[in-house]
Amino acid sequence: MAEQADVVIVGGGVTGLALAFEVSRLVPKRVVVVEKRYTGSGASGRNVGRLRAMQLTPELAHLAIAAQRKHERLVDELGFNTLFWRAGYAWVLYESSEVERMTDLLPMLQTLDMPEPRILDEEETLRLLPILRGGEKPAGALLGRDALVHHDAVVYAYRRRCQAAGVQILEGCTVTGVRVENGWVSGVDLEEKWIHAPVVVNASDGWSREISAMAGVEVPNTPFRREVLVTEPARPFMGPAVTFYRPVEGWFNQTLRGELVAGVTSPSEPEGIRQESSAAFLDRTAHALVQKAPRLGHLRVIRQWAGVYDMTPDRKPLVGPVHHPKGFIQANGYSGRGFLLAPLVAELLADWIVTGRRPELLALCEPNRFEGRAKEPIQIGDYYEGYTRQ
Amino acid sequence: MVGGGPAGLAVAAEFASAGRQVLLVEHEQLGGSARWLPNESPRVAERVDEAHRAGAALLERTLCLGLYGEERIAACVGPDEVTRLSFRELVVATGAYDRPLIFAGNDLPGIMGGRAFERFLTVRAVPSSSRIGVFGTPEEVERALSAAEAAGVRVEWVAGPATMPESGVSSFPGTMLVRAHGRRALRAVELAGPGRMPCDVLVLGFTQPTYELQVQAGLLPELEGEPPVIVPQGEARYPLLVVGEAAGWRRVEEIAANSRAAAKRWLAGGESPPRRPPHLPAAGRAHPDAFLCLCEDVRLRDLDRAVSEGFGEMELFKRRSGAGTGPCQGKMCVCLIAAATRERGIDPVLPTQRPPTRPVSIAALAGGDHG
Repeated sequence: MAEQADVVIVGGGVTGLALAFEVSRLVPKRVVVVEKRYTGSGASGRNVGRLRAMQLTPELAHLAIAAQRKHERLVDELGFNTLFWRAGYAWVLYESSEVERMTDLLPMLQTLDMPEPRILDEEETLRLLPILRGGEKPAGALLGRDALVHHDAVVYAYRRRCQAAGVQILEGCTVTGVRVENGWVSGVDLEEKWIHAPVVVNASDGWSREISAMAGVEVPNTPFRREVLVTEPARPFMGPAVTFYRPVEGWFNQTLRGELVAGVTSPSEPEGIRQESSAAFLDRTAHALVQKAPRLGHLRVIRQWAGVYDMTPDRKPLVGPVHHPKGFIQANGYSGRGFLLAPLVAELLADWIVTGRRPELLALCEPNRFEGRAKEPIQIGDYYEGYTRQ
Repeated sequence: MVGGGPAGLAVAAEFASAGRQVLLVEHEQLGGSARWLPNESPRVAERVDEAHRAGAALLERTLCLGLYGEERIAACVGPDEVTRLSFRELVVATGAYDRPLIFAGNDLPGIMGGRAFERFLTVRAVPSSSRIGVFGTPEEVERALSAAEAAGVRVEWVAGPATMPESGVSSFPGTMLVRAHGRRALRAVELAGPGRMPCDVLVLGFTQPTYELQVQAGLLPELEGEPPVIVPQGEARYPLLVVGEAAGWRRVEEIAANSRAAAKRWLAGGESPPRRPPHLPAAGRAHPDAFLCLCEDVRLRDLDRAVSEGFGEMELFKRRSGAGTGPCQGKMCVCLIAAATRERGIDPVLPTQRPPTRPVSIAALAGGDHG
């Protein structure tokens, strides 16, 4: 005997829970979320909740700005304080070529509905980001009023609303197969049973290629590890969150709890789902932090952890129904922007599933664009290059 | 080898004498917690000497951050540099933690663990005018009494859930801690039976053996007993010898000799010695106001609310409330949360033990010459 559902969502992270909530808001459907471990055990719970709207291409910036606004509305929509906080966001530039790139970008960001982006020179950068004083000399910064959010609060606000709406959340359940009959999805196999459903959503981000393959869908999505460290809390010592890409890619910010969270990525990180932390990460992150912001050296690290990004060759997600099989829907490939985009994507995708019409904002997330190009390699080395090759 | 207390030093001496190339790291000073024990501290120099003479390399102020991945890599941070050490065998002699107890008022200043008490006594930080009560297991009460006596500090009363050692101090065996009284600081505690006992220092004599490195080496943390103690079980990914309080051994005066014997058996191809997880009788009266996690201010009633909202599983509760995510990283509270979770009918799955084992500054991680 199979259980029946209208929609099965694979993955109990922010994407899956948000989609389950949004679908249940629109129509009285039986929605089941299947999660291998516990809700938020993947990238959602290994997150730092940085919501950056400043993006390098107009289409991404447009989507990101709308997604940030959605996060702002969540507090009311979910009736739960997600600790959304416009801490500000500084994209700190260390090379003159970066300043030129950002100066070119600024008019585009200003035409979008973006809160007050501006370019700072070296002096203003150090005045507005005193944490950088005494460190490597910045060439400038792109400063916006971007936000931070508490990732666990968002995940659990959705979880509570899902439970209240009657969404069935199966934790500790592994999907072992996706059933397809006559070109249509007919359900998912779990270890001990199967669930009959005409719609299956792949919201498993880092695991999305595996789940797609179960439905016979080939995608280029590839997981790469990202690592984080957190320090013990301190009094407020910095304002805007910091991101930098030279000479290495990294970021740091103080959370509302007072901790510093930080990470520096390795351009030679091998692909694969690896959620163990590394000693090399601590080493490179500590070195980069004392170079950029020497005062951070006093803070004591209490924990490190790791999660995975689901990267696509063009850094854009896959969202929507695939051509074959019918009823199989992608909501993955976020390439590191999952936490920012998931609530908005969930709202739009729920509408798409219910009405059958694609919302315009999701045009850049076309889920079939890699048909026949699923082996396309993913370059993770240089951040800027990921956007110039498109 | 990690841990330079009596157990670690004894094994270092034996291993080095047998021709093993030994590197021992100790995150504070050699001697470990024996430096705070009146009967043990005079012998620290002699034990360090012996290990040195046998050829062991002993690094003080060097913290083992953790064991990484499948490879045999231990990352260590010292005063000047960070080193990634590879090894063939690992010896863990990292001692035990003070374990808090659940009762109303358990966060009041003046309440401390036995190891903290010993340290404070050694640096003369316990005023002789203090009214001191000790509540704990017989071994820990005895240890606290002898430390107090050596420091010339008077203990007013001793009590605990089991028997009490012979002493000239008012003694209340077979009792429970009901609650602590006081506004900004401890003034008295209430014991089941004897009633209100005045004190402004309360020493809690319960322990939880350290287990982080053992779990990172591949053992599985299991809960034993009721209330439960975390005891690593199973097979490590490489040869792992655990000695001393980390293995649950309790009689501190026997630890050096037992460690030596364990090292000899190990060198002869024998097994890791048996663990003796402490038996902890129920000792504190649960109260919704009692603190589970002292770092993040999470109380027992927060767990009850989380359970009623469907967040009772340990990983969910941790993320929902922040319990276990503060500076101690769960060293004090994970065993308490596991016990309380189990009492509520939820099978506790213990969270991952992530590096670093103790807080370490970014400057130290960057090589010490910054910040």
